[in-house]
Amino acid sequence: MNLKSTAQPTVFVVDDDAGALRSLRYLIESDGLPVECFSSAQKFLDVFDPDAPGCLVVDYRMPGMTGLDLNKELRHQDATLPVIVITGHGDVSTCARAFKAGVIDFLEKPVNDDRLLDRVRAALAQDAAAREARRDHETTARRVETLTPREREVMDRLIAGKEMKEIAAEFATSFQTIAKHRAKVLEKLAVDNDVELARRILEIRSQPATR
Amino acid sequence: MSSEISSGPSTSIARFVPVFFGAYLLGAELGKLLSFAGESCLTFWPPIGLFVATLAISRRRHWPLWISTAVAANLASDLLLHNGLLATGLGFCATHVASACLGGWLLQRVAGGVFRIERVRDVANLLVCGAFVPALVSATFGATTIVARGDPASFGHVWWVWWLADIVGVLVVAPPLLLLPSDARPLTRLATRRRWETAVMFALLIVISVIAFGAPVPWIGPLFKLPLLTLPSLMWVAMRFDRRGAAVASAVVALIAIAGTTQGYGLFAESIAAIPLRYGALQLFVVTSVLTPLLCATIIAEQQRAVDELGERARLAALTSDIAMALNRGDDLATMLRGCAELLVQHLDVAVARIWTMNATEQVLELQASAGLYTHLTGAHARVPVGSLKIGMIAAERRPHLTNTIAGVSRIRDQEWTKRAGIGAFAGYPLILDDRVVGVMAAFAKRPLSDVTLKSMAAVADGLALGIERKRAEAALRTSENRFRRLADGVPVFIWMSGPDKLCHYFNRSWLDFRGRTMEQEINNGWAEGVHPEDLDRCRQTYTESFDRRQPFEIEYRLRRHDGEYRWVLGTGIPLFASDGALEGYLGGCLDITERRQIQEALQAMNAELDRRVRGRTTELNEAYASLQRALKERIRGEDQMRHHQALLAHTARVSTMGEMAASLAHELNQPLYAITNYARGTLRKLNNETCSPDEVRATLDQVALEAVRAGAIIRHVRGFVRQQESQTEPVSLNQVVRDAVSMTDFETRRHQVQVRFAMADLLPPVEAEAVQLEQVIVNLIHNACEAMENSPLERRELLLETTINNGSVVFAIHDQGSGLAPSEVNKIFDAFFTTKPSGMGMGLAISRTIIEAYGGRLWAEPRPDGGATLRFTLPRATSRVAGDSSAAAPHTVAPISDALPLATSTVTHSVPETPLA
Repeated sequence: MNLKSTAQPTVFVVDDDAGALRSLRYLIESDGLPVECFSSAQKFLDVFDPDAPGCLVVDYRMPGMTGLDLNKELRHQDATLPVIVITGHGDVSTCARAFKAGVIDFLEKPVNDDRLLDRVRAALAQDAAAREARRDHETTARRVETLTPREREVMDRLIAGKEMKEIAAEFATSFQTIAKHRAKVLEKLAVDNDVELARRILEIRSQPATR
Repeated sequence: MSSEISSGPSTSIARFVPVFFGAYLLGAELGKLLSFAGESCLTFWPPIGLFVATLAISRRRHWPLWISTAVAANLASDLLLHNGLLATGLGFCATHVASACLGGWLLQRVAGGVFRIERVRDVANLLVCGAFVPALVSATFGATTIVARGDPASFGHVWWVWWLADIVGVLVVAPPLLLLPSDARPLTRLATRRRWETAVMFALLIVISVIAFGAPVPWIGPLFKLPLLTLPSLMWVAMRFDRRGAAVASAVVALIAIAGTTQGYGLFAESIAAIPLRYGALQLFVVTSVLTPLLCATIIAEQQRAVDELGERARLAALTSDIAMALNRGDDLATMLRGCAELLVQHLDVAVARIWTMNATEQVLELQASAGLYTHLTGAHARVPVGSLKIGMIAAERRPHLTNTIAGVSRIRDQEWTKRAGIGAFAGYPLILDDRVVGVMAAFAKRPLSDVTLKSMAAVADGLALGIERKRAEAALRTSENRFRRLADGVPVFIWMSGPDKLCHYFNRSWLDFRGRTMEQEINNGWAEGVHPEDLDRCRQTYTESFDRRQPFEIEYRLRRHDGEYRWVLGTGIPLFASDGALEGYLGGCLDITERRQIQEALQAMNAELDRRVRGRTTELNEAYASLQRALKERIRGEDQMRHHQALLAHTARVSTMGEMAASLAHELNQPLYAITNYARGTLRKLNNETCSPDEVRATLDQVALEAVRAGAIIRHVRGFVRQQESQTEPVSLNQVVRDAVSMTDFETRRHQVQVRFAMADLLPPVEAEAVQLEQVIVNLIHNACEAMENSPLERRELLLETTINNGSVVFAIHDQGSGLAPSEVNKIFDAFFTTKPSGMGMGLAISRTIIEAYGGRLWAEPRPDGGATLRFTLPRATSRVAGDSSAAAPHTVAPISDALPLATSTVTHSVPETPLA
């Protein structure tokens, strides 16, 4: 079961109860989604690949690592895989903690199939969007690398909301020079205006440095 | 001449040089006088006898002196007295010296030292080595000289005459000279009768000889046979007067014969005149008359010596045996040594014999015995330190000192005394035993001590050493024995000893005093008379049996005291063994234990009294005990009622906890319902999408049915669990329950290919339980075990079900050979929701434990050393109560309540992670 080979988004299901696991696979597959099953959280972690797109449906109550524990572990690994937790009997405090921990949804057994599949699809969409955004960020970051030092300085000041005149005064140069630099920056980063530039750059900078 | 020629210093030799010179000169003149006229050389040459004899008894270093003196005398005779030519004189000198030296050398060579005539062989040696052989040389040399001088006589004739002249010269002169230094008593010491005999003998010999050889030739006729008379006379001399007498007598006869014949008288003169050149007859006569008596005398002397030696040996043998007897007599040391000293004086002809013993601690020799001239034991020699004086030196050097010439010997304390008393010989021996000097024995004698005497003295010394040591050992033994006796007599214990014949030979003073009898009365079997008649047989038997087995024994018996009272004694005996392991007898001791026994008996009487009293009290106590038991029964009845109330209380409490139980069971029930919903919804979706085949629907419905069955099982389970609260327990057979459970799980075990074996105890007592619940527990355990062995190799898939009874409890155990248990898991597996199985709920064992504990038993797990695990539960055996009593398991229901609570709370701890959210 090599996750890397599945370029197609997959629903990963983790449940210690074999009967429940089988039935869940059947339900999700009935909606035409590819499913991978695991009988414990650890077995899932053993083969987990952060680059594989998809979402995770996990039973809350399992021996050893619980569903929430697994979610925590994934966050710890900076994985962005969306997680849906299913529980036998959810009380409010558990539910709240689950949401705080960043799960997409917290469903009670027996689950409403429509809702489950809705949430699964939403999760897959979110995952895809996140991956898309990450790819954009990476592109932007690569483009920023191509800027000259002076162009970067000019860009930083543009993002900070300064006028070109102010920038020219700061660098004791002509307005035309700064204008050339700005045009170069916009060209290199493939943006049309200062607002888009600022959004792109701020998006990267809000991301953790590691990614 | 005397013996001092051979032994004295050279200064005293010088005194004899003129004597030798004179004698040589005289001999030469005599030879010239008594030779036949008309011959070219002398017919009799006495100096050669003197010369050969002197050299034969002289040391080699003195030879040059004698040779030069002889040469001087020879030259003086030839040149001064007879005006001879120098060259001829020197030639004769050389001839004489050569022949004399050859003779002297040969004689000393065959004798191995200074030559003496002691044995027959010596006479023969004298004839051959002293006379014949040297004469060959001198005759050759002499004849050559004479012929060279220009003498007309033929060489052969001169040689023959010379040869005979030398032989006669040697045989006539040498024997008396050689025999003079012998140790025979000088003539002056002879008895008067012997002197007369000597005088008569010599007179007769001379008369016969003169008549035979001095008579004019015409008278010879009637006296023709007279010369033969000289032989018997000479033989008489030889037998009566020893070798010296024979030699002197034969020399005298020979001289007279030569003198007469050369002067033309006597028997031989006629024949010589008739046949001038054949005067060998005279020489033959001389040789015969000299040799025959000499041989006879020598033979007699030799035999006499052998007889003397035998006598001496006999004497010494007598001495040795007497000494041995003296040593072995039972005297004390001093008496023994005095006896020995006296025997030495008596047998060995010594003047004084003394014996010292060694005082090893002070290193002093103490004079113990003195016999002979002096018998006192005081004075300077009473105590001689080792190393001082001659006696002390002997002890220090551990070597005998022997001398026959005491004069000049250092360390002989009183040289004056030895001279005055005429002491000439001394012999001192150390007395040595095993490298230890135990004393010194010494003897002074007037006459020299012979080898045999010295040898026997050495033997006596050895015997003395042994004797002294034995006496000392005996004394030591006596001392130690006395000490033992004093000790044995001194102790207050009765001591006896017996020999290897079992008979007693010793009793100590305490025994004899106690018995009031003497040793003579008690020894052998006398003691047995004192033993109480009732104890005697036992006593004898014990003693005899122990004796035969060589074993120590101990026995108590009664022994009669001197006042007639029988006293109890404790007797012990141990065997005594000699160093070679042989039994020497027994040593025994007895103690009067009458008082001890009395105390013991008093004690026993007291014990008996005590027993009697205790028995009396016991009856009273038993009665009191019976009434107490009655009271107790009342109380137990009350307690039963109380316990019943308690059970009811516990039951109520447990029912209230069931709510929480139900919650956790609801979770289990939720699982199949969840699965069923998923299947149903999934199928509906597929049907809606029209992507579902009938086969798929069928398969899904199968799954739905399975999940529904599972839900039913859980519901049944819950119902069974809850029913426990309502239903009633009864005595059930655990073996039967196990068999039922196994048949229920038959399908599963076969599916897992597990072999099930049984080890069921016979006659297992019933347990108080509900059979269905117990069955569920066992089914659950079998199920778990099968799953645990899922991955085990086929040959290890074996399940052992065991029932036993232990300490009044019935025990069930199930041994699997599965994946086993980590020590940390041993208790964890009973927690609710703990599972090691992919499809487990984690409830089976928790519920099983709850059930077992509800019946008052225990359920636990143990890892097995060879892998796998053992799950074991105990149940109390059913008490014989009336069936249907609702409180059957009540006494044990208190414990499960407290255990059930953590089970319930564990559901909470598992579901609520405590870690804060990120």
